[in-house]
Formats: sequence, structure tokens, C-alpha cells
Amino acid sequence: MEEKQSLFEALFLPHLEAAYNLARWLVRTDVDAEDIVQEAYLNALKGFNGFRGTNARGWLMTIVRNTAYSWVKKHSGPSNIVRFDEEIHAASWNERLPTSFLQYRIDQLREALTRLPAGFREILLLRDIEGWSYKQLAAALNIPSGTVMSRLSRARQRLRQELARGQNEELENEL
Amino acid sequence: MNCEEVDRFLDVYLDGELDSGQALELEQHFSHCQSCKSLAKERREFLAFFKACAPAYKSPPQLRAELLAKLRGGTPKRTFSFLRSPWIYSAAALVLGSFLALDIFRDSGNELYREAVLHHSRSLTGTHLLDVTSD
Repeated sequence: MEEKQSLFEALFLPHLEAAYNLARWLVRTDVDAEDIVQEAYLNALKGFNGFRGTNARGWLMTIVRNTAYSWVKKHSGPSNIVRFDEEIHAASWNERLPTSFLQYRIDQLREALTRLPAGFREILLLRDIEGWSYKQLAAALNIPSGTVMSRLSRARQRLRQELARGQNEELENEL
Repeated sequence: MNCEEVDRFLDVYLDGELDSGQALELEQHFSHCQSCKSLAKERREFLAFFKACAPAYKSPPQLRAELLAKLRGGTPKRTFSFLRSPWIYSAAALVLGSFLALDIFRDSGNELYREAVLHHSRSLTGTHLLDVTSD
């Protein structure tokens, strides 16, 4: 039993940061992300016998993703998501003056991401940050590879649109 | 391959997931279509920007310890988790404020009392008949 526990910890604890990052991309607050990560690890431990021994990170991330969706469904209410967006949009342009152009672009990217549906944020993170292949994405998200292609393409297009929209809004506010 | 097909397959090509035959067709199209070539460059740059600048959230320092405690079946050591609730600070401020206010009122009450006794004692002395306040 202890051996199993040690093996589990050795395999999955090194991916805690990646697990937290995914959870935090999917939900809007740090506290929610923490709860999801803890629940996901407990789920992973329960299902550890089903782990085939390859790609521990991918296996864990799939569990984090599924746990996040269940968690959101269970705790869903307009509260967190709406409040988060309001906080961002309540800040006036002057309060958000960029410290540098790069920082300004990073802030814009963050804001644009918050306006994307969770399914788009998820596929962007898994593909572009985590580097998952289309095959891995299809398996984890339980969708055909054709859908992976189209969802990824739509997600990137929407992100570009949101970034452009943010820039236009700020230009209008300036004038 | 025409421009419309290039647009459809561009993301897959940039991800290195397009099969080699189609990738070759796409590259041949770039050689005679400046507009699609520029589009590919623009998308590649955007992807590079996104990968470099996308938010990477760091887990809070206590998470690892809390998680280990839970995994090992112990009591989760969320010792200071209540400190993350904003209401706790409002409550603390209220309690502290009440104590301070009570203290101030008690002091000012004592001061008034002392002054009244002093005035009364002075008025009782034979040489002191009247107190006149000067500003």
C-alpha cells in the first residue's frame, strides 16, 4: 500500500504546477483551482490501478480537466465567472495603462482569453502550451481528430478577434 | 491547393500535423501566392507570441503540503485557509475598532470625572469663590 502511494506521488507530484495551471485556466479564481487540483489528485489516486504506465502527465491532466468540468457543473452559478469579468472590465483605461508595450500586450492577451469559452481556452493550453498532439487531444477530449482541427482553428481565430476587439475598444476610449 | 484550402489547413500545417503530401502542396502554393505566404508568417508569429506570453499560473506555496496530507489520508493542513476569506479582515477591523472606541470613551469619561471633582474641590476652598474660563 505504501509502495503504491510512493509510486503515485513520484509519478504525479512533479506535475502539480501543470495541473494547477490547467485548472486555473479553466476556472476563474485561485481558490477554485486549488480545490479542483486536490480533488483531481484524489480521483487520480482512486483510479491509479487503471493507469497504464505511459504519459503520467497526460493522464493526470485529463483527470484535472474532467474534474474541473464536474466541479464547475456542481458549483455553477453566475457568481465567480461574472464577478471576475466585471472586475476586469470595471478598471478604467487610465488604471490599466501599460508599464511597457510587451506588458500591455500580455495584459491584453489575458483579457482576451477570459472572454473565450472554456473549451477554447482548454484546447489552446493543451496544444500550444502543453504541446499535445492532435491524436492526444482527440483521445483526452473524446472528440474526432477532425473536430480537434476545427476547434483549435476556431479557438485561435476567436482569440485573434478578441485581441483585435480589445485593441479597438481601447483606441476608441482614447479618442 | 487554392487560397481557401490554404486557409483551412494553415493551422494544421503550422502545428506540423499536416501529412507530408499536403504540406508540400501548401508550400508550393506559397511560392506563387504572396498573400498566403504573408498570412502564414503572420499566424506563425502570433503562435510564437501566444506560446511565449500566455499566462502561467503558479500554485500557491501551501498547496503541495495540503495535497500531500489529503493523499496520505491525514487531516488536510489548511491551517490558515480562513485567512483567504476577505470577510475575516472586515470582522477583525470591526472588533479592533470597537475596542479602540470603547477605550477612547472610557478615557474621556474618566477625564470628565476628574475635572468635575477638581472644580468642585477648588470651589470649596475659602479663597476660591468662582471659576472663570479663559480662552
